[in-house]
Amino acid sequence: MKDSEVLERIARGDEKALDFLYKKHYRMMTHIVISHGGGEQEAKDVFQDALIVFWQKAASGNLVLTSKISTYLYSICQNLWRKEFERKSKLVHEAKDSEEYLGEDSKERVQIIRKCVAELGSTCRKVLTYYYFDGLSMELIAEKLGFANTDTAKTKKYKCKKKLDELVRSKYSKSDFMD
Amino acid sequence: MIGNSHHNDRLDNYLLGKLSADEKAAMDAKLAADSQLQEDMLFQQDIVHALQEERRLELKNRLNSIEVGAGGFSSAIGLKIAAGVALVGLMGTAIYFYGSSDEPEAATELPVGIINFSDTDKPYTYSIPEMPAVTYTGTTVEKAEISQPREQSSVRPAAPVAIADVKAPISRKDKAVLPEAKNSNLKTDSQQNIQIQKPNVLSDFKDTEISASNHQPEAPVDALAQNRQFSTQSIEVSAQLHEKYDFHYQFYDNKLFIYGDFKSKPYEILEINTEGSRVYYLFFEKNYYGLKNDQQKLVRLKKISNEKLIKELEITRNQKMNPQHN
Repeated sequence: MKDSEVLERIARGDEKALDFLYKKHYRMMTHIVISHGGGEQEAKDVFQDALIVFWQKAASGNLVLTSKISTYLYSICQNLWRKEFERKSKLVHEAKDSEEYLGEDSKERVQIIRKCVAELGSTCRKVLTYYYFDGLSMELIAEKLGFANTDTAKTKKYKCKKKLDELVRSKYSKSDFMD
Repeated sequence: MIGNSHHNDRLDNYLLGKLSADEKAAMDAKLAADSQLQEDMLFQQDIVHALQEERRLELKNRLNSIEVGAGGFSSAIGLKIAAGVALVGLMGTAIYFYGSSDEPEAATELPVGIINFSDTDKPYTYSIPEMPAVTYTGTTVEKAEISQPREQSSVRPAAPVAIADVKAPISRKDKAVLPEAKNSNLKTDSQQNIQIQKPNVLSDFKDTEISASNHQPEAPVDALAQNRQFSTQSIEVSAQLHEKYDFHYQFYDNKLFIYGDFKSKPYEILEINTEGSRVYYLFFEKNYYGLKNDQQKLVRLKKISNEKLIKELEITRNQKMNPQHN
């Protein structure tokens, strides 16, 4: 599959293109991390994260690629591993500061909201994540999820989001997370 | 504020970086002046982050379920094995149908009334009017490679799904290695075939090996054997409840969506590989339903009423669900 075809398929939200890239570049990309002091699991994580960054940019149409996909992925992997390496080095030398505690707080809020997302059901989860992460158009979301038309997708997204807001607010007020 | 969709759209666009520079500056100014708006924005920011994290983890799980192993080398071996399995599947299917027939001439007829397929000279069509006509387009290896990861990844159907049966992605290579059956040999071969219990899986199949083996029967090359196999590598199936569509289906993105109450009752998808195409049937509550794989629009599931076809599907399903009876 050529790069252009991969990009075209990702723009349509075709996750098989992601699988294809993963298999195709796994060895080369994980080698970057392993050859720079990383373990196998770290290498895998870095490549997966890089690929997901790439997917998000390409799916949402925010990617202007001037190089081969492999070159682009390579540079993302390098950057991610550099950051991770620095973070690890920092952790060794410094104790957790207040900034990190704030990070934990944010993580906890994310977990609460994710539980609310799970309560919404599969269709709402897909509509919202396709919109907020993949950046897919309502037209594509309607097509992927088998809605009758774009307006149905918009209505669904609106209702799901409203329901999620309400659920999260109820959870927030219970646990005083807004304080 | 929650009910104000315009307001929320504005915040969405702000958080997703979809505003122009001017619009963003205006929004920043508003946020600075309005503490309630700022609170709303922070609330929405949490939600957007969580949704993004949700999807990120979903994709990560998807990637984690892909076996990467030794890269291209293992893919090549995988293809070889698939080709071997395909060949064995072809032979087994042909043996089954040929062996169960009383007339040796049956090899030139269609033992199963499902599909009339062609050799290169005589184009056949489906005998079922509602099914799409199939033309051989030649399945490329690349396509097979791409679809493989999805099949390896964890497909989690909501209800128990049984897929019938032996995987046999046909390729030109498979056809090339099939021994030609001669009419004069058919009768004796079919009699000998009854002795055959279970063909072994061969990873590297050669003409010479086939002809050298006295124990292996020659598979009669009939239309069925050339064109039809049953696959365990199912298409991804998504069963969903829908308020409007209570017994419908559609294909999209190589995925089958079925709408209705499939979560509480088991269903089966029969995938029949043909030369250059695949045919699907749904078995649900003792009935069969045709699934056109080019059906991209949602349509109601249509029960198959052709008794002959139902009978053959039943045989196929039972045979593939109980391969030891072959």
